[in-house]
Formats: sequence, structure tokens, C-alpha cells
Amino acid sequence: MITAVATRRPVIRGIAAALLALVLGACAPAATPPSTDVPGADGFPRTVTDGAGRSVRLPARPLRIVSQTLASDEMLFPMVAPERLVGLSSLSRDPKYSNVVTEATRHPAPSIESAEDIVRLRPDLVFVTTYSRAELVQVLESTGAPVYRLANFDDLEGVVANLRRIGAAVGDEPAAERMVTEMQRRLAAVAARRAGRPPMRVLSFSGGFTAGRGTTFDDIVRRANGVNEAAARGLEKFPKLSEEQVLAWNPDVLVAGVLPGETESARRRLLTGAGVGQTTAARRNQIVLIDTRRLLAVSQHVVDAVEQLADGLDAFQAAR
Amino acid sequence: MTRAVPRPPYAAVLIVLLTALVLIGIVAIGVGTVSIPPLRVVGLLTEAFHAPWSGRDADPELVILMAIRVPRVLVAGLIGAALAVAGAQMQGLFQNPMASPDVIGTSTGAALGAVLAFALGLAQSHVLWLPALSCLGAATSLAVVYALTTRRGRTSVAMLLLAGVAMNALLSSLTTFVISLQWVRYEVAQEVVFWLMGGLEDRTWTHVWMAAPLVALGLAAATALARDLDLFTTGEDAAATLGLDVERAKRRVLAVAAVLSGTAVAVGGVLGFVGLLVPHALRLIVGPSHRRLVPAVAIAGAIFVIGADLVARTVLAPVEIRLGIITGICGAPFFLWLLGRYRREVGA
Amino acid sequence: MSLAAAGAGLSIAGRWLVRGASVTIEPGRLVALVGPNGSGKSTLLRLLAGVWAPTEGNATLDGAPLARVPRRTLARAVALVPQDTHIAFAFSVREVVAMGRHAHLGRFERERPADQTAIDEAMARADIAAIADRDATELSGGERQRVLIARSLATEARHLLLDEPTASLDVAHALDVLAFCRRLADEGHAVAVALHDLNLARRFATDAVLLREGTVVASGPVDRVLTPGAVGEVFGVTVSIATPPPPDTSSVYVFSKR
Repeated sequence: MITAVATRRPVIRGIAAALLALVLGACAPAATPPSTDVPGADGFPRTVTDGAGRSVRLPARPLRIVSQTLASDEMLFPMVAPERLVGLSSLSRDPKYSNVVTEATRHPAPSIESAEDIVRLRPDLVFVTTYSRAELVQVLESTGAPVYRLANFDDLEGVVANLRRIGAAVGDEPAAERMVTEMQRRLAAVAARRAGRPPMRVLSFSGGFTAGRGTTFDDIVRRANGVNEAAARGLEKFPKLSEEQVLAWNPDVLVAGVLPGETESARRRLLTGAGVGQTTAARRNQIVLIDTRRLLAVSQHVVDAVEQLADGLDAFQAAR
Repeated sequence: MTRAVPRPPYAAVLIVLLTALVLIGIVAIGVGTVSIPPLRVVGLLTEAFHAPWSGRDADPELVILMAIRVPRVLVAGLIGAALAVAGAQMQGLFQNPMASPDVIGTSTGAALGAVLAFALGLAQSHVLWLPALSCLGAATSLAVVYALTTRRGRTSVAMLLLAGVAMNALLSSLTTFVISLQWVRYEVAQEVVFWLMGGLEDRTWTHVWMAAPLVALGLAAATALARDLDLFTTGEDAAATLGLDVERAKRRVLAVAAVLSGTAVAVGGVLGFVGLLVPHALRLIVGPSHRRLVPAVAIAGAIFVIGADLVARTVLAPVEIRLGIITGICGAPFFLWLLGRYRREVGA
Repeated sequence: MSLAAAGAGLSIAGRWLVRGASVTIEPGRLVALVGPNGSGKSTLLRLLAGVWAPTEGNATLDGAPLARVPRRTLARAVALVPQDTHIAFAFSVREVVAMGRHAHLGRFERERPADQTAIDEAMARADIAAIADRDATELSGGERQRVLIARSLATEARHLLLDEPTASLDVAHALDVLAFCRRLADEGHAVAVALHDLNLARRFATDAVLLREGTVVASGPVDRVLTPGAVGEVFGVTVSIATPPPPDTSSVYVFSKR
């Protein structure tokens, strides 16, 4: 009988599905009940909705926060008292990506490599992103730690939203609001000085890839009062681009992300590229090299990139 | 002149294997960023029956154990048993000691199925799509190789290995193609790499419940098919006259091997050489009769993968080596040695 | 109890391997199937064993078409010893012989005392009791042949079909195997052997079936079928007769190209 079952795969599926359903049903965590918490003086306990739309219940003001992503590292450092951070992402100390290398290096909290590292720290709040590995998040949730998912975003409004969400989750709304206000002030300043200038055609070109619609770069260009050539041509996200294509489009300005120390070689590469070197941007040396850690930042540090781009565009347009 | 075949008593072998399994399981559960001594592991496991495993009041060691370590070791054991038995089944079906899920491309087929489950968004919509498509991929790949290479119940080594090379190449390029497509998201690419290299980090109880029923069914079916597989040893025609329904037996063995390797790949990615090494070694100890081979191979396979995972976690701690690399390092030299022995036997 | 083919034919991919073959294998007879390569000897054996279903005509056991005989019943009545005796894995001799009991056991049953007796008897008759615990892959061709014959005997099948049992054996062993087959026939089995060596056929068989290109040219008692003329015709050779020195009284055909 068993072998007869074994032959018919649909029957195996059926039995396995039934078994699985039974067992999962027995093990499934109870659905989060609607909050009946009465918040105390500090605003806790409270239930917040994270970036993935899930309810996260926080019984008390989080004092042992683990940040599993660089985004939350960068947003948390200015926002909360350092002793409340007990775990940082492994990227926080990587000088190639992190905007908080100095603070992180000085900070005693360990880098997180695995789920075990996190559980050992007995966190009362863990920040992950919606693109963190699903199994890792599952394991964390099964240990009972409150897990807060930050949503992915593709414009600076998303950064503002995440700052506010983090503020609500850690109970530091005023600090978060201050950071938001600062961001908006600087962006307004850029908008003011760039207003009225004819927009220049800007193209990002790094490692053969460009950035089109639906990327933070696109938003950066818009806020610096430029035109993202790749978006105008209908490209989305990060497609590959040939030098021929770059030449055909002939942007006014080329933008590339560089690490400190690579500036000269990056500029040379763009100026002497077979196709790229013949563009208006290259011939007039209208190249803006922005610190890649700011250009790709997923936190408030991205405003630096807006300012750097605006500076460059101002300089080119003043020269003419 | 050769001596009679000396084999240790079967019951003794099973007892030794089971003891080894329990021991290595406990040691493996104790290893990690925090080292938990074996006695404490046993203590914690007994605690687990009445203490909470999660939440603010739980003992953090118990949380780590029950949320992270125990599921991982269980999955490792299930994968090892499944792959080893699938290998034994394939070797019996092809009447060839070189057959195994990875050598002939079955694991890669399963990986492609799993990757498709992710890329098409099916895996995220229901938890059963992943093992379903993985098993389907394994079955298709296995059936193709069998149809191409086996005549009258015999497969030449050369044909088998060539078909395996071709299958692996074809399936790997299809998988790479899925990665390269513009619309594939970063998370999918991440998963794809995981499947192709094999690894057990962040295994949860969901994976245990996904694999356990299928592996149990597969093992039971393999045991039931044991005598059928023995009969293939002098060819299909003789097997038929001994009373075997050859076509039905073939289909059943293929199905069981596909379910076992598909499930293993679904929860652990492609792990090479387990299905080759373990049946070989055990055949030397308990003999080729499948009724005794299958249970022994299942336990030994579990021990092997739990052990390999242990090595993967400890050798370069805190960095984890990918599990597929460990099984490859053990298995590939053994495979080459096998080829050398075959060459000498055949005088090729 | 007799195994027979009546006008049986098998065609694969448009080619007839055997056509219109009518043969009877009865207890007490040793039937030699002889013919040049490709004449359909092996195919006919497989039709008789029920391994392949005939495209036309039928193969019957006691009048019932083989396709309608339950698999286990057929296995207990007809046994086939294949030409290829290669064993891929190191089963012991006893384990190989024990496979013959498959049709007598349920799926989860272990061998009972009755089965052990049958196995022991089969091994004794085939004279391999002494090597019962040896590794079957390490035996000589002749020993392996006897192991497979023992396995057939263990099935307790009345009808034994052997496909070229002497193909890779040296002279002494070939004589042994065929003498054994004749003894089995004399003890009441119905034995059919596909042979390429005509002198062995003449010496040991009671009956013969002469095949050419898939058709039965002649069948009946061996002396009537394997005449020098018929043999010369089918094989395309000249046949002369040689008489060995006494005390051996059998005569031997000597062949030369036409």
C-alpha cells in the first residue's frame, strides 16, 4: 500500500499537505490580538505597524535595540542614546559602505553575523528590512523578539517616512522629527538656489550601469533641479548601458559614485572612455564625482549627495 | 581464491550507527557562537518539554537551542538520510555504483525547480510550492537521464556520467539564465546562489515540517521496494521472470528517488556526493541487499551531513563555510578514486 | 504442464525478429534452439518466458496465453537464465539464489524455513553449496552460470530456459553445464537451451529447433532436425562427420566453408 502511494505523486502531495497543515496549524503562533494596552507615561506599551504592514507590539521602551541593517544603524546613531544599541549590522564598520564608520568603530556593540548573535543579545527590538533573508527573520520571530521590518523605498520621502517610523518604534519621536526637519531644511535650501536655472541633462554611469526611474538617484537629480536622462529615455532601476548608448544620448553631466581616493582614476576613466569620452559632459569636464556612500545611502546621509550634485551643477552653470 | 564475505552482524551495525547519530546530534546542537557542553544540551532538551522556548522570560540558551540549533540539526539529518537513500536507490536502479543524485543531475534539476518556485513568486505564496516544484524538477531530470542511458536494466558507466555532465550543464545554464533575467529581484538571486551551493543557515521548524513527512514517506517506500531493487542485479529480463513487474518497479523507484532528492534540495540546496559516498561505504559493511542497506544508509547519511555541517560551522569560525563545499571536498576525491578503481577493473 | 509458442512472432520497429514460431517445451525434454546469429533464438526464448509479448500468435502455458497468467504463477512455472551473468554488486551466492524465492513471498515477508530448504536444495543440485557464502562477483564464469541456474531451481519452476549458457565458458565447463541441463531434463524439468555450438546440441539435447532469420526451419527430435544437410543449408557451410576414437561413441560434425 505504501508503495502504491509512493508512485502517485499527487497522493504524496495530498498526504504531505494534510500532515503539514495539521502540524503548522498546531504550531502556528496565535494571531496578534487587537491591542488592549493602555500606554503609560512614556507611551509604552504600544503597537506599531512596520514597513511590511505587520503589527509589532512593544511592551516597553526598547532599551536593547539590535540593528541588522546599515539603514537602521545610520538612522539610530543620531537618534538614540548609544547604550540602547546592543547590536550593529556587519556593514556598519565597513568603510566602503558605511556612513557611520567612526561611530560604529568606537561603539562597544558587536557586529551581527547570524541569528544566534542576535538572540544572544536578548534584544527587545530588532530592525531588519523587507529584503533581509526570509528564513533569518522567521528564526528571529520564533524566538519571540519583536522584529520590525523597514520597507524598501526609492525616493527621499521614503527616508523621511523611515525616520519617523523608527522614532515611533523606539519612543524618540522628537529626535526623529528633528532629523526630518534638518533634512527638509537642507533640501529646501538646495531647491531655492537651484530654482530658475535651466535643468541640465544628467546621466549616472558607474561600472557600465546607469540609474533610471524608480531609484533614489532619480529623486536626487530631481531635487537638484536636473533631468535624469536615463529616466527621460524610459529606463527603470539599474540597467546596463553601453558606451555607444551614452554617446548617442550625449548628456550634459555625468555622475559617478566613487570612494575617497578613487576620484582621479574615476575621472580619467570617464574622460578617456571610447564612447563616453566624446560626450559633451566629458569634453567640458562636467563630471560630478559623488562619495558613493552618500550616493547609495539609504538614510538621511543621502542629502549630502543632493547637495554635492547641486554644487556641481551650480559650478557648471556659473562657468557658462 | 577469495575468502568468504565477512560482514559484521547487522544488528550491531545498526546499534553503532544509531548511537553515533545521537552523539553527533548532541555535539552538533551544542556548537555555535556560544558553545554549550553536551551534558548541558541534554539538560536543556529535557527542559524544553516544559519551559518556554521564546519570549522575554525564556532562558536565552534554550531559545537558541530550540529556535536555531535543533531545527538545523534535524534538517541536516533529514537531508542526509534522504540523499543517501536516494543514492542507494539510483545505484540499484541503474545497476551502477556511480549513480547518485548530484552526479547524474537530479539535484541540479531539483534546484532549478526550487529556483523557479522563487522566481515565479510561488514559493512566497504557499509553503508547499517549493518542495513540489523541487521534486518535479528532480523527477524530470532523472527520468530523462534514465530514458537516455539505460538499456534492458543496464547502464554503462560512460553513458551515465556523460548524461550527468550534460544534464548538469544544461540545468546550471538554465538556472543562471533565471538569475540574469532583468526582472529578477535581488532576493531571488540570493536564493538561487543558496540553492546551488547548499547551506543550512537559518533553518526553521517550517523546514523540518516541510521535509519530515516527505522524507519519512520516501524512506518507508524505499524499504518496501528493497527486494525489487535487489532483483535488478542480473538484468531486467531475469527480474521479470523471477516475478517482478519491471516497469512498475522502475517507475516506483524513480518516483521515490525523485521525492527524496527533491525534498533534500528544497530545504538544503545542492549537496554533492552524499548520495554517492554513503551507500558505497555502507555497502561494504552491510552488503548490497537493500533490505539491510536502506536503513543503514539512512542513518549513516544523517550522521554524515550533520557532521559535515558541524565542520562547516567550526573550521573557520565565526565564518561558516558553505556546506556544499565540505561535502564536495570529502566526496570529489572519493569519486575520483572510484573512477580509478573502475578503470583498473575494466581495463579501460 | 507444457510451455508452448504457437505461430508466435515479434516485430520491433517494423522488423520481424521472429515470425510464425511454433515450439513446445515439455517435461523430460531438453530442447536446443540453434541457428546463426540473429536467427531469433534469444527472442524466441524471451517470448516463451513471457518477458516480451508476441506481436502475433501467442505463447502459452498449459494452453493459457502468458499475458493472462498471473505474474507470480508464471514466475513459479517458468525460469530464465540470461546470457549476461554480470552481477553489479557483491551479493553472496546464497543471496543470489534466494532471489529465486521472490514469487513465493509477500512484499514484506522474510524467507521461511520452507524457502531456506528450497534454496539449500537448489544449491546442492547445482553443486555450489560449498561456495554459498562467497561473493558472487568474484566467481568464475562457470560458477556464476551455476549460481544463476541454482536461482532458477529455487523458483521451483518446471520450465527452465537458458540463453547461451556456454557462450563464455571453456570446453570443460561447457560440457559440465550441458550435462547438468540434461540431468535436469531427465529428472522431469522442461528445459530449453539456446546454443550456438551444434555439437553440444547434438550430444546433449533430446529435441532441437532450427531457426533461420526468425523462422523455424525444422523442429523435432534432435537427430531428425540437425542433419548434415539441414545444418549445412542454414549455416551456409559444408558439413562432414568425424568419429572420435573409442570409447566415446558420439560423432562430431566438422565444418568448412563452402
